[in-house]
Amino acid sequence: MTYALEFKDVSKSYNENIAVDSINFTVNKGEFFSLLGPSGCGKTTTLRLVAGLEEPTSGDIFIDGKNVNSLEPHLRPVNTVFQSYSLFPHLSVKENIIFGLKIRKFDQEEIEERLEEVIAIIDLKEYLKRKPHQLSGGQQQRVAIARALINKPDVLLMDEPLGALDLKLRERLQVEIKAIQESLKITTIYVTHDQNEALAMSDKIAVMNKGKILQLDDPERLYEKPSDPFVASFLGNSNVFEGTITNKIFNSANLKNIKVDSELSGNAFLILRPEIITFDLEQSFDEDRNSIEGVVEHILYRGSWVDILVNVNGVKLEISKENNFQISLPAEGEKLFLSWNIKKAWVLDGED
Amino acid sequence: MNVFNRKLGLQLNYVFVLIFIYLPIFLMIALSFNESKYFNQWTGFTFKWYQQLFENQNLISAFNNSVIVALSSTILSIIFGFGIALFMFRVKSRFSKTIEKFIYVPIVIPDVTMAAMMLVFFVFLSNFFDLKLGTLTTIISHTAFNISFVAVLIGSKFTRKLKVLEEAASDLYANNVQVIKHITLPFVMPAIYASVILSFILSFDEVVISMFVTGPGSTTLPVYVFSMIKKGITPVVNSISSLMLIFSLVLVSGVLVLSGKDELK
Amino acid sequence: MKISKFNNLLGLPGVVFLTIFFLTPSLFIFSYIFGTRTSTGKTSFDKIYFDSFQQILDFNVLPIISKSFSTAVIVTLLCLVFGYPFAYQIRKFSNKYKYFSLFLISIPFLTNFLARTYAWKILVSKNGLLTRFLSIFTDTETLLFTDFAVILGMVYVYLPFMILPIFSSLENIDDSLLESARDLYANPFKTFYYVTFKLSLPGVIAGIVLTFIPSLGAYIIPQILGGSKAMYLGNFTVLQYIQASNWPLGSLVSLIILIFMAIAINILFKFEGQKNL
Repeated sequence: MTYALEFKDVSKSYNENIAVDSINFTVNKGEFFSLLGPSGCGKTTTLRLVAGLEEPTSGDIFIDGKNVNSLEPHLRPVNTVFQSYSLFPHLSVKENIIFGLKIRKFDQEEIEERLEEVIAIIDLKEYLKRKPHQLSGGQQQRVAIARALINKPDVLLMDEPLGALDLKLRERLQVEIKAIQESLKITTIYVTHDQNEALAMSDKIAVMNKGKILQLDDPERLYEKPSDPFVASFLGNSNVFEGTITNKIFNSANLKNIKVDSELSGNAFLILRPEIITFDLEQSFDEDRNSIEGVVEHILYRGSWVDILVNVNGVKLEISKENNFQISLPAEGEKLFLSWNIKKAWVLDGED
Repeated sequence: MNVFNRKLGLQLNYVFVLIFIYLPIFLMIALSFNESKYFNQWTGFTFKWYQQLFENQNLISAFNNSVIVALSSTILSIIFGFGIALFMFRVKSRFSKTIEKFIYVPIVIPDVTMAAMMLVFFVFLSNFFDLKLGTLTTIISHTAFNISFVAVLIGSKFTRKLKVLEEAASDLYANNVQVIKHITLPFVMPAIYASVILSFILSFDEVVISMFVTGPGSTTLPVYVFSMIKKGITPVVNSISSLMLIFSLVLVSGVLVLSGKDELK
Repeated sequence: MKISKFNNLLGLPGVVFLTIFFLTPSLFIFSYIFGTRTSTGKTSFDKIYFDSFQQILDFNVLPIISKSFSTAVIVTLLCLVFGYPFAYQIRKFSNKYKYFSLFLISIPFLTNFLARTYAWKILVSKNGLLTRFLSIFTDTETLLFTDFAVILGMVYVYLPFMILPIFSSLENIDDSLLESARDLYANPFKTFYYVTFKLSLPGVIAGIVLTFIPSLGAYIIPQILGGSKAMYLGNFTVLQYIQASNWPLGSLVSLIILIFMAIAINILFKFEGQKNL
């Protein structure tokens, strides 16, 4: 079966700078595929390689089974929604949207038909005659998406499209974009540095760092069972500890005698998601639980939940608690015991 | 020196500079209407010095030559200059970086030096080709320096923003020619208008280079006027100078209005 | 890839044209230095001559070089002294007056400089306003054909070349920068020197180069205002080409001007952080 998109050992470097380092992945038709990672990890470069705006230094890129390495951008069945929207300032909203069709000399009827279709999905009827600078950020974003979708591309590329918008708008558009993508069944490659965004919208996520793909998985597995310490600390809050395991006991520089449910031995990483940790005033001696002592350092009020930073033997653990206004929160400087079910912790093999 | 003095000083300087620049100009224009030949007496208002201009065949043909040369070199400069500007913007090779530096040379070079260069070159060429100093050599020489002005002026409008827009157009199925036609050209149009006017003025006003490379019968207006000034003849010089000034003034206003429009946006 | 080939081709016509019609002529100048003037006025290249170098000494060219150089320096300084405050003052205006002032200063920048030089000639000739004004204080009969007139004339023509680049780089200075500097230094002088002046330096350098080089090679202005007696590099060069037919010497002098120019451009580029023309 042919994949919508396939990368085989693709590398891209600029002089000595390696932006993308021999990456491999496949994307199925209709999939929402995200490239997630910090600035400079190579995710945008990867996207541009798909669009044809960069040429790979080595390796092969296949779109719908066809090798597109030297195929120029304007010949690829791919459309991009750029980070800064890139709406053509001298054209109206309508002219922007139908640009791709007019360039290819579609006839007027077909253009009008497709325009109607797109407007049905993305509500833009009132703005058609306006110029881009007369629209707000969110509206411009919608125009950019419409401009891409109207061409019915085989692959839709989105480069951090929601980065410039405020939180509320971003969350709303996330839902909208995902809904559109699902109903149109259009293969989408989505670049973002926001892990919540990626987790919420994607079918599959590729976490990248320094030009390499560290892990490619669906959101649940990525979050709960990261295969790499970087992935673990990038997705969700920290609490990643490096140490050694002997006979199911984990020891690190600061954490001693932690029970782990793992057959691994030697160097290892212990990953504790904030959600699995509870705090008590007394130590728990449950066989299934670890219980360690710490001092509360900071309480960060986040509205619907609270982050509590606890100092355990020199190292900080972060726990999150839903703010249900009833349970009283510990004060800064207070001593308490953090405990968790050993089965819920996640352990990774470390390097030797 | 306290603040008040400093402010006053600045304002005085401002006024002084403006007077310094414009007084001679107004004086000259006023004198072009003076009945008398001498500029220390005003004997009446007249148009006769302007009339004499239009009766001077040599002057009229010099004017025509200037217009032909200016138009031709402008057209050539725009084509070559736009290409170079686009090249410098899109290609980032060692070669293009070298061009970026050397493109300033024709702008800064003193006209005497350039005049000498061109003369020497054309005379050398005339040994092999049937090339006489005349309109063609003047057009070539003017184009040689105008290209740089055009390239720099248009080049200054090529920004990051344009690059992303060009990529977006490419992404939307536009080939190279279409990108230039639909995106690049509209984006830099004000600079192109400004370049057209700038090239025209620079060519039209050019004295020394023209002096060296024109031949008999192909004299340009500034060269003709210069010889008149050297001979120190009639106040006709006043009137032709005033006309040239006003002519350029109208064109320059065009430049500023068009490039100023962009700043205000 | 086709796009990059296309982009390279875009520049090709212009680059080819400039190579043939600018670069090559400049190389010719260089080679003519080693010729010699024959009795018929043509240049002979039958062997490598160094006559032109000798003539630099014989014909008293060195004083001319130093005169042109010192004139150019004076002109540049004067332009700087009057031009910088002017640019600084415009900056304080609101947008409307700012652009109007720019307009006022740019018109001379591009209007016919022959006409402007001539207009200045009117002022400094025997009965001109400026001459009469100055004769109240000093014993001057006529300003025309003096070095003083030439210098003033050059300042008159080149002043906008100094003002515009300085204004451009002053414009780029963020007001918020000035505010935080004022906070730190509290002293308006120090603010000006450490912040404003230093940041406007690229524009100042550009202005200096754009004023100095034309002044060095000026021909028209000294000719009109200084008369045929006036000997500056520009006049001297033209003399060699048009009247004396001594092309080797003319070329050598042109080369000297070119060298000064190359040095100046290099200095300009060393200081140029931003593109501020």
